[in-house]
Parts: sequence; C-alpha cells; structure tokens
Amino acid sequence: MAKDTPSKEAKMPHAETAFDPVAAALKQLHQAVASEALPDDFLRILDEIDAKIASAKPAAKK
Amino acid sequence: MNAHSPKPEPSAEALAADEVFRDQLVALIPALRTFARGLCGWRDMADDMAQDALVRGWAARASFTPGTNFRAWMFMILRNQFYTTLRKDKRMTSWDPEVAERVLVEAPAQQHSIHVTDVAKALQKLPLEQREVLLLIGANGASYEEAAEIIGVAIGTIKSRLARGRKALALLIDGPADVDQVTRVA
Repeated sequence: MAKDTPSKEAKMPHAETAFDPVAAALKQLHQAVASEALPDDFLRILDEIDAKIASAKPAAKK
Repeated sequence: MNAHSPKPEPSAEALAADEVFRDQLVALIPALRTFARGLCGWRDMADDMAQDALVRGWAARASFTPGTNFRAWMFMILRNQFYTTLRKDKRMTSWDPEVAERVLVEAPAQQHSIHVTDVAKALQKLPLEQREVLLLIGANGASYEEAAEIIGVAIGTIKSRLARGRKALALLIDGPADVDQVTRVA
C-alpha cells in the first residue's frame, strides 16, 4: 500500500468551501454530546468545586 | 500567616483565579465528554474518564499557567488518563491495525450524507492514533498546533494522521459491505 502523505484532504479545519460529510458528521458528534443533559455525577463534582470556593471566600485575604 | 493556621489563607486573587478556572472547566465539559467517548467508545466509561479529568484538572490547577492553552492542558490530562487505563485493560480497544490497513485500500468514498451513529461506530474501527486526531480536530475544532501539543507529535504527523483517518473513516462509512467483509476475515 502506498504511504499516505499530507494532502488537501488534511485541511479539515479550513475546508469550509465545499460540504464535507465526514467533517460535518464529526462536528455533529460533538453537538450530540453537547446537547445531552449533564449527568448528575458531573454536577456533583461541580458542586464540590463550588463548595470549596465558597468555603475559602470568608478566609480570603484582600 | 498565623502560627496556629494549618495552611495559608487564599488570596482574593487566588480565589478569583479558581473561579475562572472553574468556569473554564464547565465550558469544556462537552468537549471532554466527546473526546472521551470517541476514544473509548463507551458512554459510561467515557463519562467516568471525563469526570476523573475534571477532578484531576481541578486538583492540579496550581500547575496551570494562566494565559496558556487551557483546552490543550485538559485534553492532555484526559488523554494521559485514557492511555494509562488502556495499558491496564486491553479490552478497551478493539481496533485491529491489519483491518485498518486493508480498509484503506478498498474502494474510494462516495459523497453523500452520513449518519452520526455510523461515524461513531466507524471511529471505533480506526487506529487510536488516527481516531484521536479526528476527534480533536474534526469533532472538537482543535487546530493542528493544538492537536500536536496535546498528542506530543509534530504538526506534520498530525496532518498525516488526519488525512489517513479521514480516508479510512470515509471508506468505513461509505462501504459497509466491504468493511464488514474485511472485518470478518481479519
């Protein structure tokens, strides 16, 4: 098999001129995940972070 | 500092930096979840990895230099964690390099619309080194430079992997009969 070399196809981030179904589908992967509700476990972690920030506030030096 | 305090009190600046860091983490969660899911292929495991990356990132926030690339820094944490887990559990990946190489020489891709689930399935058949580049650049919009920084290779290598990954992905999606046949015989 011939070795692949970087080609015009490699320019996915800049390939805005023609519709590229592979690039579009990959972007949709991200959009599909982003549109999901955030699972509770993530919210719990963020709550813990918020609690740590809040608990540090009274003691914070100006 | 008070001699009786066990640790120094945080400054107002440090707290403000923590809040900025927290906001950056929140904004990055969808991208981390997408990257993790694309890497390991399993939603629950991917979310576990993304959560672990959040916790590790937060714990290591003091080592992050403000003004540098936060996204790349977090992706590196997640990626390192994935490869560490992968080394411990080889069942996490099912790709076969021989299959991927054979797929590459199959018929050329046709141009038509593609279903996202087909892409997600096809991604899992690609070599990890191509998959991660497609996920970073194609799905998450990273630049070549960012992807090179995250993976720790030259930009030329990123471009090459992206080109090969795109070609393989198109073949996997457009030629299901061929790919199924190739997968079975491998």
